[in-house]
Amino acid sequence: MKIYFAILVLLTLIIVPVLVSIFQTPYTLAQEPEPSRKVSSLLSLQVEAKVRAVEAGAMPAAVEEGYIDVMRLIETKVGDLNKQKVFIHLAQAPSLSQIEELETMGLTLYPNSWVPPLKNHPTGFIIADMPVDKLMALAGKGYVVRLDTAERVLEPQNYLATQKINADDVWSSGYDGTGVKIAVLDSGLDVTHNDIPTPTASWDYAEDDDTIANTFTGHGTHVTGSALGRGTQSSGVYKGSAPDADLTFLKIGRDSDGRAPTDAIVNAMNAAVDNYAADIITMSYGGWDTYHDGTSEEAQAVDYAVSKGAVVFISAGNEANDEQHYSNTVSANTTTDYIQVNVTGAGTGDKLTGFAYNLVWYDGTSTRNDLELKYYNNYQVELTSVTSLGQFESNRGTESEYSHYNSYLPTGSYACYLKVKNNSGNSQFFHLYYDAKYNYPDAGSVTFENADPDYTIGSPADADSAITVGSYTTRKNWTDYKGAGHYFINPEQTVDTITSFSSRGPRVDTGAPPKPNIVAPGSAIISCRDNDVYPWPNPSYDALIIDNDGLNLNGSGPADYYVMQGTSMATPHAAGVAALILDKNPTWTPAQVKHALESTATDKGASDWDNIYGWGLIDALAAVNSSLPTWESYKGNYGDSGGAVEDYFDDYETEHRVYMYGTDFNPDSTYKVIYWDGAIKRMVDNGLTPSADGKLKSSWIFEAEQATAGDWQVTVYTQYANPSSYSAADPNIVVDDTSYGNHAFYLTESAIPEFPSVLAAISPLALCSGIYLWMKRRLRNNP
Amino acid sequence: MLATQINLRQEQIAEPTPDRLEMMKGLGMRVDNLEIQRIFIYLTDELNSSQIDELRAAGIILYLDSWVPPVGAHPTGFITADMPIDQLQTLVEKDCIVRLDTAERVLQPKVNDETQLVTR
Repeated sequence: MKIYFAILVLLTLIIVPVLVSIFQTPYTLAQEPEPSRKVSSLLSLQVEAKVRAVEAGAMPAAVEEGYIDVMRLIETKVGDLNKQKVFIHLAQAPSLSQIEELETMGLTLYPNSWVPPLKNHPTGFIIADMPVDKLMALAGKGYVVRLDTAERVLEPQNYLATQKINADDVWSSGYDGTGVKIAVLDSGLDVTHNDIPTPTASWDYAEDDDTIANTFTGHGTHVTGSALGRGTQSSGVYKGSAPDADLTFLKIGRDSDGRAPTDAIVNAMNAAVDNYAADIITMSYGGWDTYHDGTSEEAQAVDYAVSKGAVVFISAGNEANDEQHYSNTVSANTTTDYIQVNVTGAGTGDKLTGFAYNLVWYDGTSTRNDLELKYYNNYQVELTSVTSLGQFESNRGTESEYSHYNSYLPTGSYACYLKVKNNSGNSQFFHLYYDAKYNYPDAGSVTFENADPDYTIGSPADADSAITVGSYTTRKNWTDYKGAGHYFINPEQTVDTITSFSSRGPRVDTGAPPKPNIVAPGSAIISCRDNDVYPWPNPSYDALIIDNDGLNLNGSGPADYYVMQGTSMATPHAAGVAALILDKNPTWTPAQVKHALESTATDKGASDWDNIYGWGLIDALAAVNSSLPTWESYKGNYGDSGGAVEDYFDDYETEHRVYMYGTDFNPDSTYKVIYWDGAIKRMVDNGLTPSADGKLKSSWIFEAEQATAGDWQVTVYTQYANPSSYSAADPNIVVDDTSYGNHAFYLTESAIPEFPSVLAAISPLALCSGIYLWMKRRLRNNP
Repeated sequence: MLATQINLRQEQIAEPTPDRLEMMKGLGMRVDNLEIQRIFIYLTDELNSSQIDELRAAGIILYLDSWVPPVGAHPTGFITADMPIDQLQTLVEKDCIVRLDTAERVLQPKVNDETQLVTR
């Protein structure tokens, strides 16, 4: 019995304190802290700023002396400088006597705001308006556990886009696009949205009338808001990246489906420069064309607009993960293995497919390799009802052969097959593009089993002089105007990386300008809601509608913003940044703006340029503060011949040429020439064969932004020996470039990093006397 | 592409089917008048008055303001025109014409609206 009693006592001693600790909800401080330790740092800053503003003479003086900026930074309200809204944290709900005491101090309490302590929150809190001079007195009350500001504003998140590219920092330095004219070519515009400035000019090039309102998609209004929205409805939160630029709006989307005919695009692009003198053009439209090498009509129109002085931004496309591009190499006089194509969801009954593929390959203008595409059914039996439209070549040497199988295939999901046959004597890299437009209705979707996400840039994003913009993920979640959170899937994106659908370069032709050029925020972007197309509420798209101030998310609005994603959304952000650059540097040329954007972009992915991120994520602040590149290496070198030396890319031309020419090379050898830009290997001109009299030529035409200032080098190697087999001291290797004039520099051995042993074997003196690298502006229309 | 579109027009005129018509719309073709095809005419120089008269005599409607000149690495310019489909061969045989292409392609807005949305 004594034992039982002893156990009972022991249990009581153990359990009771535990139970007491569990049910003792009131929070007790082990030691009363100093009053100042109870006050959050943000609350201290806000109260201090208000006190200083009041002492300086209330609002006008506060603005003059910069106090308001301080307050903006610390997120406080400036409506009543004598009051501060606070959260008073207490161990338990305030008693009547405590309420009376606080009200006597001048506080206004909101009793209904009391939130009690919870499991992981040891204190509760109540909201109150506090005279700013009572902060320390309030903190001195023993029952006050902690004080924090109730004047923080939770941003509804979209400002991330402009913040991520540092556009907001540029605004605060005084550049917001003022005086810069941006032409937006898009589906249409809701001119009643208060964020959208009244266009200085507008026209509907799709329907050839003056009505620019959207009827099918709110795409154009959203895009316009991202470039130059004023942020009026959101108190500045959802500004575009150039919130004070001027707008010219040129509608290119058809009223019936929002798609843009190429003739409307060409006409609008021309008008943007010829009629409306746009400084910047942004167009978030695109599609695969025949050659994928920048030769389409819309690409030429882009190049024309740039030649007339406009900076043109085009969305790269959203086709990287569509699995509708395949590439491989087919050896000479052989046929590839089966290329599997997966068909899913073909409708009921055997379907008339209209399968069509564009077989594309680049073999240069001097060669016409003969390739053909062969079709096989799900049993790998060759299909014979195939129509080829013939092989055509672009003026840049890209071949294209459309073909289609225009008969019946099974329903449901199955695999079928293709092969590429090479009838030429040359090995050939090729591309297959499937284009769903050619499918008959209800014929299912088609993807390659081993699809290649590269080479998926659309047209006119592939235009030589376009600034091609991919999509970078700055945010994937958002909260709609009813308070529900959402994100996109298939696939779910990862923040701070490329958006998976963003189309990838390069272009199919050798020596093409690198594409894409840059990336900008394009995922889950919040911008202006087009009320003509997306009136609210509407259950089918309520999840995409965003409240103006992010407060009271109960569906009452106002909610004038909308979520979209795509390279469409990335492009206007970049265009707006160009407007900031031109605001600061109004005389800069398109090439200079392009260089500023690319040279200051934050490198992502592989080092330097890569075919996914281009030169990287745009950085508005760095771009605006950048200076023109200098080319010191022009100075004092061979070929200057006393003429004027330019220190930077000229004012109106975008292309430059690196050129080497020598004689007395071995006609039986094959050479390659490597062009070096400092430590970076920019281009390899491979497989060069000298002419019968031993002359070897190589050149590379490039755009200003593809290179950086500084010393350039070129090295020559043979196929059989490395380094090159010609005599380093051969006096017969001569310069023959008088037609290219002034700008030349010779080689140095000091900065060719990859081949130190090779360089050690080559006499610098011999190189200087043997090979000259010529750089010359390439006159427009006189290449 | 131009050959395909003209072929589709001819087939649709001869034997109309709803599926083909839908496919033509999907390709961006104008289907309100199957006899007419909008094209780009590539030229080394802008058309002179006699060439304009010659083309107009063949029933071609020229949009003279649409001329885009040769520029950069584009050796030819082009102009937009409406062509009766039976005049294709006539145009092909003109010495001043370098190339013909369709002007009835459409480009898509590059918003990615095929992804699904999930509510957290």
